[in-house]
Amino acid sequence: MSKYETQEIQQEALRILDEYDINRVQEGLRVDDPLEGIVFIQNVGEISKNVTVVAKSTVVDGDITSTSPLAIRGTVNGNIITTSDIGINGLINGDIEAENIDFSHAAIKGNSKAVRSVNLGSQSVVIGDISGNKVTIDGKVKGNVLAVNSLYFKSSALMVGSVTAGGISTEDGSRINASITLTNKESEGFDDSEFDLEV
Amino acid sequence: MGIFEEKKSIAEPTGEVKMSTDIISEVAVVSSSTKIEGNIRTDGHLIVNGDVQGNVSSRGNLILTGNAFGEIYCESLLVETPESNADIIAEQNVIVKEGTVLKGNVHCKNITVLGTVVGDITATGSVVLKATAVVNGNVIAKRIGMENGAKLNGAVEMK
Repeated sequence: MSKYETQEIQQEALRILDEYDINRVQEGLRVDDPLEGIVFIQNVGEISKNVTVVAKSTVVDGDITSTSPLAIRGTVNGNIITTSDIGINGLINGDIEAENIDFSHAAIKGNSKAVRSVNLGSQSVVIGDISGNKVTIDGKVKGNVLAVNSLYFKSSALMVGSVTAGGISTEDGSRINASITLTNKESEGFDDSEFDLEV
Repeated sequence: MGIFEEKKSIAEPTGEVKMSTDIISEVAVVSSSTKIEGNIRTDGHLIVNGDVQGNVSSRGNLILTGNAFGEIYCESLLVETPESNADIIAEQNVIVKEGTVLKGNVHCKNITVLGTVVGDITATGSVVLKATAVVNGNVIAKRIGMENGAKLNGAVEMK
C-alpha cells in the first residue's frame, strides 16, 4: 500500500468518526437524519420513563407483565398483567389484570379483572367477563360482570349476560339483558314479616 | 373486516426503503418494569427499557436499554444495555455505547462501536471502532475506521 493510499484511508476514517460522533448525538445535535430520530425518541423516553406505551401502530404477540402503568393504543394478542393501572384505547385478544382498568375506544376479547375499578367507555366493546370493586359501564359487554361494591350502567350501556354486584344503578337509555344477583347485606337477612300487611 | 381481525400493514422486515417523506412521530415504550414474552412490532419508533423475550421489529428507530432476546429489525439502533443477546438488522445506523456487551450478529449500513460486540458485523457503509471498542468477530464493510486502543479480534473484509 502506498503512502498516499494510507493517508487517504486515515483521512476517510477521521471523517467517518466525525460524522457519527456519539457525543454529538448525546448532546441532541443533528448529526444525521436517522440519528435525529434517536435523539427525538430519547427525549420521549425521558418523559414516559415509567409508562409502557403500546403505540397505535404497534402489535404485541405475547404476554405482558409489569409493575408500572400501561397505555395500550395498539394491539395486544396475549394476556396483560400489571400491579398498576392500565388505560386501553386499542385491541386486546387476551385477559387483563390490573389495579384500575380504563377502556376508551377499546375492543376486548377476554376477561378483565381489576383490584379496584373498571371503567368501560361508550365506544368500547368487551366480549368476556369483567370483575372489579367498582364497575362503570357505558359501552357494550357480552359476558358476566362482577362488581364487589357498586355497578353503574350509564346511558349508552348495552349488557348481555349475568350481573353480580353489591349495588346496581342504571341511567335512562341503558339496555340490560342479564340475570342480576345483588350481594349487598341490605338485600339479605329479611324474612316474611317484612311483608306483613297492616292496614 | 371484523374488529378483532389483525391489520396486515404493520412493519415486517421486508427490506423496502423508507421514503424520505415519511415522518414517524409515534413512539412505543416498554418500560423498565415491563416484560414481554413474545414479539413486538411497530410502524413507529420504539424504546425498550424492559425485557422482550422475542423478536422486535420497528419501522422507525429503536433505543435498547433493556434486554432483548431474539431478532431486532429497525431503521437505526442505539444500544446502551449492559448485555444484550440479539441478532440485529438495521436499515441505517447502529451505535453500541460504552459499557454495552452486544452478543449477536449485526447487519446495518453504518455502525459505531464504543462497547463490545461478540458476533460478526456486516455493514454496507462504514464501521467505526472507537478507542473503547472491542469486537470479537469478523467485519465486512465498505469502509472501516479504528481509533487507537480499539480491539478487533477477527477477519476484516472490505467490500
